[in-house]
Amino acid sequence: MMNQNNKEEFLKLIAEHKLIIYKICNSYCKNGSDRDDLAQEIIYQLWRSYSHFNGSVKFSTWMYRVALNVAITCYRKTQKSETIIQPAVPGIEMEDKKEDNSILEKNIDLLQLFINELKELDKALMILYLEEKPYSEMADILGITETNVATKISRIKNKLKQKFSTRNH
Amino acid sequence: MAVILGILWSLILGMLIYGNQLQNMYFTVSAFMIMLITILAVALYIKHIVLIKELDYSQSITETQKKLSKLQASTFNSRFIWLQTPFYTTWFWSTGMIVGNRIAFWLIAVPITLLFTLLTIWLYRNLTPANMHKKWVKALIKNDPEHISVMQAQNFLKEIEEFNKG
Repeated sequence: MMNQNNKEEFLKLIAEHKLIIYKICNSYCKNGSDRDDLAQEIIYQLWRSYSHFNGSVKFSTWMYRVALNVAITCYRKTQKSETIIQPAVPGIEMEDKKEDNSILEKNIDLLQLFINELKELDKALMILYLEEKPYSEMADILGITETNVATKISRIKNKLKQKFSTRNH
Repeated sequence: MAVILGILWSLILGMLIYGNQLQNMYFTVSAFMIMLITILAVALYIKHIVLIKELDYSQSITETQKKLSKLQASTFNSRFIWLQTPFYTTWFWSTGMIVGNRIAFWLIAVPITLLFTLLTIWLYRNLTPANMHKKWVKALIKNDPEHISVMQAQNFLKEIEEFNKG
């Protein structure tokens, strides 16, 4: 069981990394209530696994593993997640606001749409890629080799490019 | 739901066995075997639920999802529940029926039981995950939500393997 210090430490870490939960919930759930349910389940699983966290990896890496695993599991259980137009990646959202460009906005929405059409594991990889995680960390979270990460990213990017060009013609 | 129904059915059978007080051995043995197989199936379901709940989500995604999918796919191993089928054809047997109506017993009751036994053994041996792609298996399980989730788990396992390969 967690003692008071551990609880406070856990809550502090969750507060510091809450964006990870938001991003993953946005990426794997369509509506608000599903997102809330998923966020609760992620926090519950994080709390349940926290006693096993030994610091051998960064907290954010560990958190991504738990959160993505829970999201993929919930997604497969409900199969409710469909297309999401809301931007899930803050980096894209900020750029969008600065540019205030309707074409850019459309492209971002399309990118989001295409990412959400990817298979669960590919989507997880793209979430990490858009977060600009190093290949070594992505490999660690996903449990594949760095070379495999690079190959897959290249393939997915090509697939997305193709979808964009098909959509534009 | 399956667990609750299984427990209720086992309780009813237990009460029937207790009420019969070994008056009819055929009924007692048949009901006991059905109860035993049902209890084993319920235990297996509960074990699966516990294993899924206790899964460590902090391992890598491919590793965790592979373990989870294997657990989901292994519910197909509960096919031993089919083994109780022949006992549904024997629990109304009685000494009076065997002695008093031999022809009907040997020409109708025994062949029916034998047929169900053979069919059950055949199903037990063939209703395996390896045969999931066969038409008759698909037809048999197409409306069963448990087996649909097993098929989905197996498909996802293939996806994970492909993902690992690169």
